[in-house]
Amino acid sequence: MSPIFIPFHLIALLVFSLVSIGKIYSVYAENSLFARGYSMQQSVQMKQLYWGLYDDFSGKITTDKIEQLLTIYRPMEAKVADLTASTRIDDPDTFTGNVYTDYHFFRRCFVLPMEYGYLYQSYAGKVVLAAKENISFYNSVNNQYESRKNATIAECFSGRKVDTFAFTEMYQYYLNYDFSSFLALLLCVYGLVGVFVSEKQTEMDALLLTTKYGGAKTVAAKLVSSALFVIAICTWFWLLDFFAFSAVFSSFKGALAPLYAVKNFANTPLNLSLGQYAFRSSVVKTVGMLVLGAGVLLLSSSFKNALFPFVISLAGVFGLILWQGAFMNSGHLWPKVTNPFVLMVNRELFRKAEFVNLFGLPVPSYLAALLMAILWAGTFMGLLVVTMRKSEVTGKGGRSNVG
Amino acid sequence: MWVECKKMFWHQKGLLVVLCYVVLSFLALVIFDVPKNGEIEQNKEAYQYYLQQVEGRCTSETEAFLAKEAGRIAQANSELQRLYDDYYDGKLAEREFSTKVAADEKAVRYQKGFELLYQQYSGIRENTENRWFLSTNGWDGLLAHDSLDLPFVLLLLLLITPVFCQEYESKMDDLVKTEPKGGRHSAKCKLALALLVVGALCLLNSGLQVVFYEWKYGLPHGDYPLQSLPYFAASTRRATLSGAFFEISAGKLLGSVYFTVLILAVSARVKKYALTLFTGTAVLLLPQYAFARPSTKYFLPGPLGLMVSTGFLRGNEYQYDAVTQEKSLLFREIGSSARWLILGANLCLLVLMVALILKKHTNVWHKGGFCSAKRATCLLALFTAALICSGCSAQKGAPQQVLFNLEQRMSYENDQYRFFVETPNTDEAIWMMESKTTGQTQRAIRNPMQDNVKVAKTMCGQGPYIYYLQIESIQTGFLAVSEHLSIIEVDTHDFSQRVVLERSLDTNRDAFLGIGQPNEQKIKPFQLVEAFFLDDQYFYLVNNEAVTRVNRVSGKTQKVIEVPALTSLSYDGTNIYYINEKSQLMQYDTHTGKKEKCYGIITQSFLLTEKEIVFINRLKQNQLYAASLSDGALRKLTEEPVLSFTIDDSTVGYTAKTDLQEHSIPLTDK
Repeated sequence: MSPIFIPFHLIALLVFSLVSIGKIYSVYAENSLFARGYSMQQSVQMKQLYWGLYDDFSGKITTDKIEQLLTIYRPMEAKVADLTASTRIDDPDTFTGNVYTDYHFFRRCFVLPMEYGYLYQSYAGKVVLAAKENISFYNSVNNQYESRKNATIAECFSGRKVDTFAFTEMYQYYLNYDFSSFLALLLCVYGLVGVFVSEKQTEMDALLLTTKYGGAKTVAAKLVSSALFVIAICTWFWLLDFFAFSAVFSSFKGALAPLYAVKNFANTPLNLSLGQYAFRSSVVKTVGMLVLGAGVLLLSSSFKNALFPFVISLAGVFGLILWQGAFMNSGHLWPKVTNPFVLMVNRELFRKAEFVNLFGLPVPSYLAALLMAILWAGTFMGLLVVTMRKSEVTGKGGRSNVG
Repeated sequence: MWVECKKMFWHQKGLLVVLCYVVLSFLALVIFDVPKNGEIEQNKEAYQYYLQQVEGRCTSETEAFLAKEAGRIAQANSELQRLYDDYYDGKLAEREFSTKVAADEKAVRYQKGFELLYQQYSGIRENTENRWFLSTNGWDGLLAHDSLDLPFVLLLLLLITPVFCQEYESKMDDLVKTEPKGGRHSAKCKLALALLVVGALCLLNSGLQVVFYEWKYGLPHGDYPLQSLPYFAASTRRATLSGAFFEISAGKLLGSVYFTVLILAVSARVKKYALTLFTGTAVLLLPQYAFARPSTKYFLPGPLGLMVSTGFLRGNEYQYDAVTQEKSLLFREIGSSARWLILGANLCLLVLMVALILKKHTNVWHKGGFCSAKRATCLLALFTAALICSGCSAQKGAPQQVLFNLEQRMSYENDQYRFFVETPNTDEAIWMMESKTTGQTQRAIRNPMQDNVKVAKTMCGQGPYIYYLQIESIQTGFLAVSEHLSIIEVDTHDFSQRVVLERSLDTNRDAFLGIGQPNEQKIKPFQLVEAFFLDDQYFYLVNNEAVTRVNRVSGKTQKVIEVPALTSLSYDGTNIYYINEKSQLMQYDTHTGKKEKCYGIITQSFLLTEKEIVFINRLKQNQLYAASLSDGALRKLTEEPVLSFTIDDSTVGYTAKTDLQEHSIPLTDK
């Protein structure tokens, strides 16, 4: 990377980071239970109220806590049941000034999440039971694949429980946030399109091949530095996401709660905590970016200037996004996992225990997607090496010609 | 100028790229364009009949006409009902009946068209001053969207970036400075050429769209107010439709020119392809996707707002928020002062950038080219092939004997199993199956993870394959949920499952940057599906008033049957039997698309068996009859009038009208 570029890279990175933080704030302002539709003052009041009560209810869910919550909640529920309660907003007998706001606040912030957590254990038990029943059923109809699949599910779900109540709202939005992936992707495309073209424009590539460190070594060095560049950009954005979300939602809590404490991940194949999942998801996203990066490098090596690689990359990325969108939430697993872009939207792979039939073995969709991604990256790299060789042999320069 | 033109279009393959763009974008229009209101296109004649009577401003006469017509249609319908009842009961002679019925049938001939127009009227009457009656599909397609034309942006990048970048990248610029015509003169030439090309492309693009929409739907009454289109209904601007089109096109032209100058200025400043391309793209794409509210992008200085431009004509739009129970702003109108301010700021920036280009510029064109076009084409072809292949699904073998009755959708039988809903009266359907060989009963749907999934109480089958429908709820926010429908095929040999049809039921599902969201038109037929059946080419989805068929490969939908209420419906593998609004049993041939009366049977309720149609005969005091499918020969099953009936194997169970008791008789021919 030329030294002239570094300041510009930094400026672009800074601008993009600011845009990402702004976007994260807008996610909070539009959706959060503490911010949505409220004024700043109300929002602060809600937050104070929540975190005040949070200390009482967070941690292990016990019958005492449930009863304590219900003694507050039941009377509110009764009051608003027939929608005849007063709508005044300065009611001194309420927490927030209005009984309806109180009701919704308690329902959404405490009652529903706690209820979900409390009931999850029995749900997981039901899944294990059903899966075990399925094992013998599928054995009886000679369907080995389904039988194995259910065995995996039973193993996955056994012993699952959400026995603690924690603040998971931040994760609900953090896990669904992918604007930063787009920003990182733009930066990576920009950074990588020029990797191989710069020497070609000045026909330095022929000259480089004659040097001691030319040829394969130059290519290898370029590949390694490109990978490092992609990893650096990704790491920066994924860290920024996590910290910006935590800061905007003013909480680092919840990282120890299990992933399935978030309702959307009730059927996840992973037995990880939210914190561990955040890390794993980031790693998978980075792998996705590396695969896309390999594609961009292949394009970069095929053209004399950055114009076509950039435009084709951009068109390709939007093509992949459309492809990914077409199979969002889909049960057609192969077209879903063959798309390397699905790694960038990987909640799609981790949300639900889905399995791909690979020679009769049930392979979790995320593993299949990773395998496919490696295959793509291998193909891109292979083609890249082949085209490089070709230019060495038939091009204007190269060791064979220089001798 | 000519030399530069030749270089842009010939040496840099610009002509090829432009041609590709024109052909592909026109093909995309032809293939992917769906009308905003598909029902209007399907009922064109009926809609036009009423539209031409009210077209234009909604006056008090129009309102009176619509009210009168609504009354007339309602009255004609009830009169028809009475006439048919009398006729079927034998109180009215055939001749008298047909003369009386003719007038009323004429009145309801175009009822569907009237309903569509009335829907339009319900929006128009909120502001009759500037919302007028006209056929809107053409104008809607042309104007009512705010999406960025990404292929056009890529085209501009391909054509414009090399204009200055070419020499800089190959360090030829220092050399050409020594040329007598290599100074500001050449920069001016290039700038002028770029602007001319972009202007021409913009006009071509707009022209193409006008031609297409005029050809497909027509663009009538350009002099009507803009607010006649629901998309612009809240606007406070005074503009006509064609005026708005010219303004939007001018905006797009200005935006594209602005974008061109921006690319040129950046390339003159940074002298690098990658950086120029990156900056140009970021300036457009970040504001396009960064803001949740679509109006925000128009308030920013930059080419994006102008390149989309429709937002400058929209009004404030609100959405009811179920959480806070208040209206929340969906789109903020760009007021006239704000508009001029934005335009002024943009023009200033434009002039500054032109000055920068001229200041920086002293170079000429350098011959360029790219040698790897073939390889790129191969790669593109690979991508396309992968995309196309991903949508394919395998086809089934020979057609199987099929028998589907709407009333019996909660059970299905094949050679080995009998499937039934265990709890038909609860909200949640639990499908069970009974083995015919062992008599063992167990769960039929064996997905262990049932949270967030709801299985519908309908099933159909084709030999060993059974099909069920499930709706999955996907949490897209802390409270927001989007639904996803799938029809799943189960092979009852080994109970392996396969998804055969699926569709998102929400327009705001959790997609990457919101790209590729389905529109209202696409999801409508999939909502409230009560039952379904299928053949090798199509799925037939039944809701309470229509049957929609969905192509198994392309996913295209078409409403094939529409009646006020679907009570009984059957399918025998070729024909769909249903009852029309005159209580006549109709037969729709799914192969030829022909609809005809089925042996003159008049009934409110029927069931299909393998050889016969069993029905409550309206013409014979509601006695139960069976009609042979092959020749229509009738045989009487009961002497007493029947209220309702069911068929189980070869037994008919019925509730008699006289004693309200349940009886049963064998179905077999005596």
